[in-house]
Amino acid sequence: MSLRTELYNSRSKIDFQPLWRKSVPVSVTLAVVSALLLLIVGLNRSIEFEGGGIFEVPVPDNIGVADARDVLPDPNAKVQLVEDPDAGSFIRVQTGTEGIADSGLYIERLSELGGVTVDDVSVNTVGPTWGSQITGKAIRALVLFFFVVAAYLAWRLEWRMAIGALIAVVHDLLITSGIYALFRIEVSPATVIALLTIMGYSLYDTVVVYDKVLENELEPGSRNRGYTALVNRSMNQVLMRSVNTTITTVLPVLSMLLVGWLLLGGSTLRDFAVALFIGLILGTYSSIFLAAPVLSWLKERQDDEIAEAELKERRDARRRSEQS
Amino acid sequence: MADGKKKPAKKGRSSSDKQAARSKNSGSASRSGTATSKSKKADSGVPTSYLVSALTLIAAAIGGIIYTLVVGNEPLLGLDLQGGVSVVYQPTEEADEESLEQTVEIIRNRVDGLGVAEPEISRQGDTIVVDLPGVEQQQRALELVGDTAELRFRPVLLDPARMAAIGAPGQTFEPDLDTSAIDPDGDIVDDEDGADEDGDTPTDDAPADEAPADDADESDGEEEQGLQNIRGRQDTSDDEEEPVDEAPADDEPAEEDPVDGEPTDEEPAEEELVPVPADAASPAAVSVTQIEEVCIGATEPTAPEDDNAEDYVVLAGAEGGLYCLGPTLLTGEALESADVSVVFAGWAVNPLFRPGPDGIGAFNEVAAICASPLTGNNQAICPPVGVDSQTGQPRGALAIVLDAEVISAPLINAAAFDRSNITISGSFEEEGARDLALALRFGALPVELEAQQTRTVSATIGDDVLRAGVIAGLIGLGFVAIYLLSYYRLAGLVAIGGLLISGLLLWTIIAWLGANYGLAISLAGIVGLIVSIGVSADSNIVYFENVKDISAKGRRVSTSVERAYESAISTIVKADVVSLIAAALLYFLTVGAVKGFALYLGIATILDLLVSYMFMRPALAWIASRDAVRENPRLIGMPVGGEA
Repeated sequence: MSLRTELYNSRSKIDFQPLWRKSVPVSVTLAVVSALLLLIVGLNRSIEFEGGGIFEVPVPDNIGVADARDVLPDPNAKVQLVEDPDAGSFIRVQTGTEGIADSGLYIERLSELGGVTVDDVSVNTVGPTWGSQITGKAIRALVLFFFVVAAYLAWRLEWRMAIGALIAVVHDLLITSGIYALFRIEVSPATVIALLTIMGYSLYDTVVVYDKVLENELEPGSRNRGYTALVNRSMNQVLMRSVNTTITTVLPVLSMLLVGWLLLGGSTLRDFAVALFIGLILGTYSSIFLAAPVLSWLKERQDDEIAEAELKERRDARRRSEQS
Repeated sequence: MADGKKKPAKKGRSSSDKQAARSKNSGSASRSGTATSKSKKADSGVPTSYLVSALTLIAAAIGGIIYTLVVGNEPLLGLDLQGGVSVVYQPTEEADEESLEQTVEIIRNRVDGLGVAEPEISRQGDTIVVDLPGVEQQQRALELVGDTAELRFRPVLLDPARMAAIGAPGQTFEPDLDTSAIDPDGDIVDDEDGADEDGDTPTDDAPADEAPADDADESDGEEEQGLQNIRGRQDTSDDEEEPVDEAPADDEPAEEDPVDGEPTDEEPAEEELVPVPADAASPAAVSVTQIEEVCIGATEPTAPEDDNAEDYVVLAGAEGGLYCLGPTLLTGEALESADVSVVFAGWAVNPLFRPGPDGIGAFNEVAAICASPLTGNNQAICPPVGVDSQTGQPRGALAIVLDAEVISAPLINAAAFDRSNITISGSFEEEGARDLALALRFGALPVELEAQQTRTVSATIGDDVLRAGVIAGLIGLGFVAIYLLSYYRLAGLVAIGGLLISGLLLWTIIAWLGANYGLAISLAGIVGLIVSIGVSADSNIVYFENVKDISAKGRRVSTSVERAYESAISTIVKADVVSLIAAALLYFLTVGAVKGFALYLGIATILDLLVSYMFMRPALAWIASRDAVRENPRLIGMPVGGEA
């Protein structure tokens, strides 16, 4: 039987252990490097976090960056000409927080430059302390989220799985942001939302994988060949599901990436899609290649008798719930 | 996002559906648990309960979309998708619940005047988020909403009683229309009753005989006019002396020029001044031209765009009626603070002007004019509209105008004031007094706001983003459909059907939320939905893979469909609950874009649960029971038992 048929029928007998021996060190290394990158290099944060102003105005073709510089009150402002294949080109001016007070002036000058009304100038200004405030709020929400989810998973699955799932999520988030830090991609609120989506997806994926392990564990005699063998078998069973899920999730994101790129030079849509693309693939990877070995490792350290006692309890509980 | 409103909205809409789902489910689940395939089957070969459940959901989806089309609901696009203005305000210092609520209310009132279809003004924690999608005059909107509106002090030329008396269209203004005009003024006295008591004010020097008399005849009519008095709070002999001593001594000489100067420049030049009639309290001395132009026959307040500080205007009073008002003499900048105090007859308001020539000095200049309206040119600026009940002197009144509304129009009963001893007294209830004090203190808003984030998006850019998002979504959906069909064959149809059903329901819900609660969908929300395509497909994949597992062990396909469901739905619920926890926490703990994303993530997850419960198994069971599929399970991607 070919591997393809085996996979299709969830009967593959891939031995994941040697793979785990490689994947875990790689994952840990990447996560640590990412953490260091975040600490040392830091993220290239958009004005929503740093404070400042962005002004955009559509301009006729004959207007360039130099023309814009000439009319602006601050010669140091960052001026860009953005080409949009569809809507023509526009001038984008970025200022620091000191530009906020002058925003009226910027709007007026830019509207004159583009020969449009003041209402055609897009403005985005953010006060200096606002970014750190919303970041603080988001982090608070995140920490609370981890606690609640850990509690939920410990209740519905078991605490070792909660730990494994959280390790996998943190790994995915770290590496994704590490890539942002490395390539100096701007982190906007859109990116944050993408990261949150990754977080949700990564957990979702890990839950599906762990649930399969739990299901197999509840079968009689499941631990006879050791817990690692059990996890290994479960991974083979969920492998195609994971692959398929990744494909169906990544396909829409990929089309978002392409459309965002083709239709709108540099846009929010693309900001979302890059992070999502990386994160979703990481999310599937980490469920099988990080969360699973972590769980095996934790479980192998559990005393067999206690484990059997716990299992018996769970089986009884399940039987009761089936009968009722 | 209207926090408060949203929750009940969502529940109200779908709770009945969900309930139906739940009851149906528990019914079918228990049946399937025991005697699955043998339970009563309809002609179609699947249990009737399956058909009922699946058809209910399909009917709900189709009914929902028909309702949406008939009612004409359309999703409300966020300002990043249709252009518009979004501002996040934060109070500059700690603010209590009440004042934040009040601020939201005031902003809402201002926005209403803008004609924005779906403004959304909401509190998120201690921040106030103002979203004005689709607003056309963006810069004007920003000014209007954001500015702590200017508080203006304008002289009252004609109070509501006189406006009513002479206001009939076609009637001309006659300077000596005194009789009708004066009468209402007498009323002041009855307000003054309050003042009398409040004041340790000079009870002694008030002409006690006049007051009660006036009081008696007019008290009924005038009380609603809300005329108030403003005077120095201090009693003692100073009260009388104040005007004499202080005013001319330190303030008057210097200030007289600007105050007199301004009006004299304008008015005498172009308008004739009517001679002062015998009766002191007559409004006759006012510039007749201006009054005729602006005020006579006016039945509507001056349009907001013509409400310029230096113009003559007609504005509505807080308690009804119209005032004819002169150019602004003073703005709220002169004020430092304001407080309320309890006086014998009720409540009074104590404005505190800033020290120095721009504060109390400027106010005293105005007071000097209005307190002796018959002196010199004063009547052209601040004509007498009432008499001081204590001295019988004619007095001018100064209207306190906020957001184009006269919130109070007290008579000025002294020519000069000590900045910490000014009382506005009258027929105040506690609430009215507090409102006035608040208005004096903060201009329009009870808290001072600072814009933390301002975003305007022009309509064209928004349009592009929407198009890209929709195209991306459709292409993504197409790819997913092709993939599912090629991998799971006919079973892929179940997944696609599920996606269609959630799609229709989503459209219904989003359109409904937009039409009824002004809840807009932003790009972040659309991204959440695009990702949810994948998650929704995943629920089906988890199920199909389970079915394959079991059928690979040699079971019949129809049996596998039943057996696989229980473990699949348990996995799906666990995973979806994690998503719901994320959605709920993000929704309640964050602001702005993340909140919008969280809402739609939550909705999409609930729909995924709904489809998984009600549609997935019945649909697959139905397909599996077709003869062609029974003969050849490969049609739904199932391994044939013997092959392995």
